[in-house]
Parts: sequence; structure tokens; C-alpha cells
Amino acid sequence: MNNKLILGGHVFQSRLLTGTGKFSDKNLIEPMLDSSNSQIITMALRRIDFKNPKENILNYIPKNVRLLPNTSGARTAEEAIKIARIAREAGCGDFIKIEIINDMKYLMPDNQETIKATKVLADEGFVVLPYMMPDLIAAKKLEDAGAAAVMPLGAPIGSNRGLETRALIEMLNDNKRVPIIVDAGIGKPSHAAEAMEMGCDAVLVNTAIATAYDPVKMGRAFSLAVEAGREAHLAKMAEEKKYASASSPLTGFLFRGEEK
Amino acid sequence: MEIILNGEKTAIPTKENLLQYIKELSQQWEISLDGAVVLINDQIIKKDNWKNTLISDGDLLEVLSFVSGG
Repeated sequence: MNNKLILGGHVFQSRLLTGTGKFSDKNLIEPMLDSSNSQIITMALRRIDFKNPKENILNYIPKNVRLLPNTSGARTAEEAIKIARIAREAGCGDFIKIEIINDMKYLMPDNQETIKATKVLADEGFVVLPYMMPDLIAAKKLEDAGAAAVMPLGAPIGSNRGLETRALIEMLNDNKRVPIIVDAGIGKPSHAAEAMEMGCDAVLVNTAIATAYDPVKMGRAFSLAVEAGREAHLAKMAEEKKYASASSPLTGFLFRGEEK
Repeated sequence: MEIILNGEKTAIPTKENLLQYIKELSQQWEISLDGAVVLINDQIIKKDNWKNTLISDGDLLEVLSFVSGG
């Protein structure tokens, strides 16, 4: 079995994708990329607010890291398509994370619009990574539309609650034709390890790393967890049992009389 | 004349080219716009073409930047 992550023909050694959001100090992004070995990182595109400008995030990302601009802020397929085209023309490369959201309380993605945008952008040669609500039928339609991977959410963005959608992600995973990347909700390394043990192909982690007390150390923790989970999946885990099954022999005990 | 800059009506001098205007914005707000992504009427204008692009009355000008995001 190939142990590398392949997205749109590009080969990645690391199965941990990261994000640039929510860092208290953007100078931590580069050492975090080092410690986590992450080779893909997300960013967003926004109007410049002249009264309160933000720094250009691209200045903080090393050249050897794959940029994954997202379409956050898009409410429809049409808006997401526009953002993707601008990002590519601006020199961000062919990768695009589609994120289409109308629900501002839970930040749930709109699967229907996401499928539409995926079709158009994949046809235009983008490597499309759609963020989606884990639904088997929607995942199949995304694959048919040309998605390079499918990115189901584990729990709401930034909630750190882990794989609340585990049973649904399992269905996607059992029927996948492209890699499954769990995006959103992963709050700690054990959640990432769990996703990888299940056989998911990668995880995207932003908040849990960026808002940790030490994001650089947490990046390494996630990297180890993702590797451990992947190895465990490849090693094929032992089955769960209801009753105990002794690991030491149940004969020849010391200090006992002769067995009848 | 008047344009729409990032969604807001803004008065600018007539016959100004894009490079001049971006420089003015940069000075006025004391920010670097070197990495800015600029669109006029939904068309992206590559940085090399800022100099020979004239802004017209009523143009929709978008000045964008890549920012942190997940």
C-alpha cells in the first residue's frame, strides 16, 4: 500500500495539513511548519481594510510549502468560483479549498453549492479540496465532479470537539475513490490519531495548533499523532472483545497445589 | 470622479493610472500594498500592468490581500 498522500498528482510525505488562522504571533507559523512537517497550509483572501489593515500572510509562509487558499466568505458556488480564480491568478497555484457557508452559528458547509463549485473548478484544472458535511451521497457527487479529495468535518470549525461525525465519516471512508481529509473539529492529537486509525488519509488542523499555549510544540505533537494513527491503520488493529483474554499463560501457576 | 473602492464610494482625481492610485492609497494609509491583489470590474490586473491601466469613472475597484485563515 502506498504510504504517501497524493492530491491531484502531487505527492506529499506529510498527512497533516495546517492553517494560518488564529496565531497570536504570525512569526510562529514557520517554526510550526518545521516542527509539524506539514507541507500544505491554508489562507484566506479578503478586501484590505485600509483603516485596520492586516499583514499579507504570504510573507510568513516558506516557499517550499504548498499554499491552499480557501474560499471562506463565499455563500454560493458562484462566489467561491470567483475567489478561486482570483487566488490562482494572484499566483497561489492550483490548489483550492472550497468552503461555502451561509450558517454563521455552526459554520456548516452547503454541500449542494460545494458540489457545483467543485465541478466548475475541477474542469478548469484546479486541485479541488472541498470542505463538506459528511454525507455519503454528497461525497460521491464530489468525487464525480472531480474533487481531488473530500474533506468532511469532524465537528464545527474551531469547536475542538473531535470526531462527532465519526459514523458518517466511516461511511465515506469505506466507499472512497479519493483521499478523505478530516477538516474542522479536531481539537487534540488523540482526535487526529483516531481519524488516521480509522483509515482517513489526512487531517487538517488549524485552531488546535494555533491557539495552543505553544503552537510549535503542538505542531510536533500532531505530527506524531498523525504518524502513529497512520501506522496503526497500516498495521491493522486487533479486534475489540467483550471479555478479558489473558495475555499470560493460564497454566503452571506458582504456589498452587496439584491441579485436579 | 467617483469609483467604488472595496464597496465604498470614493472620490479620486480624473485620469489617474492604477499604479499612481495604489501608491497614493499606500501613502495615505501608511500600508504596504506590494502584495495586494487588484481587480477592476471583476478583472484581475497583474502588477506589471498597473502602470498602463487607467481608472475610469464608476469603476469597481477591489484591493485584496491574502490573510490568515483555516
